[in-house]
Amino acid sequence: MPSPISVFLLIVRLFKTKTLIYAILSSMRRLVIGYLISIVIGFFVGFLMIHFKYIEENFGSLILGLQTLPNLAWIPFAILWFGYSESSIIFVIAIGSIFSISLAVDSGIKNINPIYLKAAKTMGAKGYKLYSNVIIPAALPSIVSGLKEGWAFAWRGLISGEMLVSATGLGQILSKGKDASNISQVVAVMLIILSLGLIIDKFVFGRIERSIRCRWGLM
Amino acid sequence: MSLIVENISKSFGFNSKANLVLDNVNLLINKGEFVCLVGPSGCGKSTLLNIIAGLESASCGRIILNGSVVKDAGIDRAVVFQESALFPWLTVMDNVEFGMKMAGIEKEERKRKAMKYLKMVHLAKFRDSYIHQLSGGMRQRVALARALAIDSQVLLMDEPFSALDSQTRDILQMELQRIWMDTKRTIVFVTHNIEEAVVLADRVIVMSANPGKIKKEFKIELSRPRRPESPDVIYYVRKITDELKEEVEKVAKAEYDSDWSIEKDLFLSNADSDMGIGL
Repeated sequence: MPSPISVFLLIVRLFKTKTLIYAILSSMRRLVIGYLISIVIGFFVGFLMIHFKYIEENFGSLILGLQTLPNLAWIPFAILWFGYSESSIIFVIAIGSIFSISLAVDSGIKNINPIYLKAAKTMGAKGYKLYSNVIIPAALPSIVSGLKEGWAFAWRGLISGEMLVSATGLGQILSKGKDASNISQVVAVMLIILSLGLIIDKFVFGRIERSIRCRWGLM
Repeated sequence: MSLIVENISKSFGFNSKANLVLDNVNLLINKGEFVCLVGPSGCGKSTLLNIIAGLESASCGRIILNGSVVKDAGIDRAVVFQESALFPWLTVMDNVEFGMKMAGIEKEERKRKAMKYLKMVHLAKFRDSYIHQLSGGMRQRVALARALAIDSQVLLMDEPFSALDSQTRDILQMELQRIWMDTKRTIVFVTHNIEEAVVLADRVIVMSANPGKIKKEFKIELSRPRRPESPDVIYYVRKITDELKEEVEKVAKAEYDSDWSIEKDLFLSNADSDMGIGL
């Protein structure tokens, strides 16, 4: 095990040489792009599942299976399709979180208390207005937990993608640390990943969840 | 301008005879009338209300409102549900505005009208609260304001006060009478509480169970506002209770063991068989 002091010094040095800053920025860029793509496709697939019953009946268990498939397993597939490029990493990020988002959208909408839909109908809500004013807000608590889960999967996809494709980023520094048998560097990057994850969870998802729970009176 | 329930029957399941909930119900409700449906549990009174609201479809028959047949739920019939059915993600004000927002009414007008109805139910100062911050009685007041705010002539109420404690219920009954007199809406009110029905209604419709049918109608010709403790109300309650007794027994018999009987267990005794107890 490396000593905490050497890990700390290494983090400081990596920051000073700006290696870490560039790595974090390019990793975050990929992560955000991949995650946004997965939100769009995830919602779309979720709505398809709700709207067309046969999609859910025939592909529901396939989607559940795809969700349990680790991101890592998609990497060979992505490399064959996109080569050793940015696109493969983004593909791996997106594919990891799409299915947990669509399953959350699907189950969130299905578990809406039917009384809300009845009430909305008697007040003339239908079509697009029903979706935006009742269905989405009513399903939001479970959609947000799906988004959070998707975010965790996206992180895993990012790091494994970068390690294997070897593009500038946190995964690459991690992988180089391994090649150079530099355990301090490995632990340093692990700590950085951990703290970035915690910060985003606390300030983004934590806030959203807290405000929802507060409105619904769940705390 | 009236609400007509024409030959409504409703059965659940495939075999129509097995589960007939409503059997050929006919009813004419005039504009501005306050009608209460009472009956034992399982008599289909809530089902009938849902059919009028367009939330359930009848197996046969039709509902005619102001000369046109009702097909689906719509803003010409507002509904107040037993559980308030308010949206927890919206504030009190936004909940009351909801129907108007769906109708595309502009913001200023919406705010003005929502305030008017919130004042009517005495909850103006809670306009920015969320639903979970309100008590059960307050929630039903908001639900009432929300239903009034869509400006439908017909207001359908499905046991709205049954989950409240009796003091709150008394207050809300008084206020509903006042609001009804002020707004002149047509109200169809479902309840299992006979006293509540007598206090509120112009006409009490007694339904019988298995299958659900209209058994008898009582016109309540008493001055308003009525109070539950007034002797006239108690007189009507007695009359309707006697009418319902047989129905309650029928439903209870189907649910309890065969050795239970209404006479033996003195569930609803006749006044003349207790030899003056309680005098």
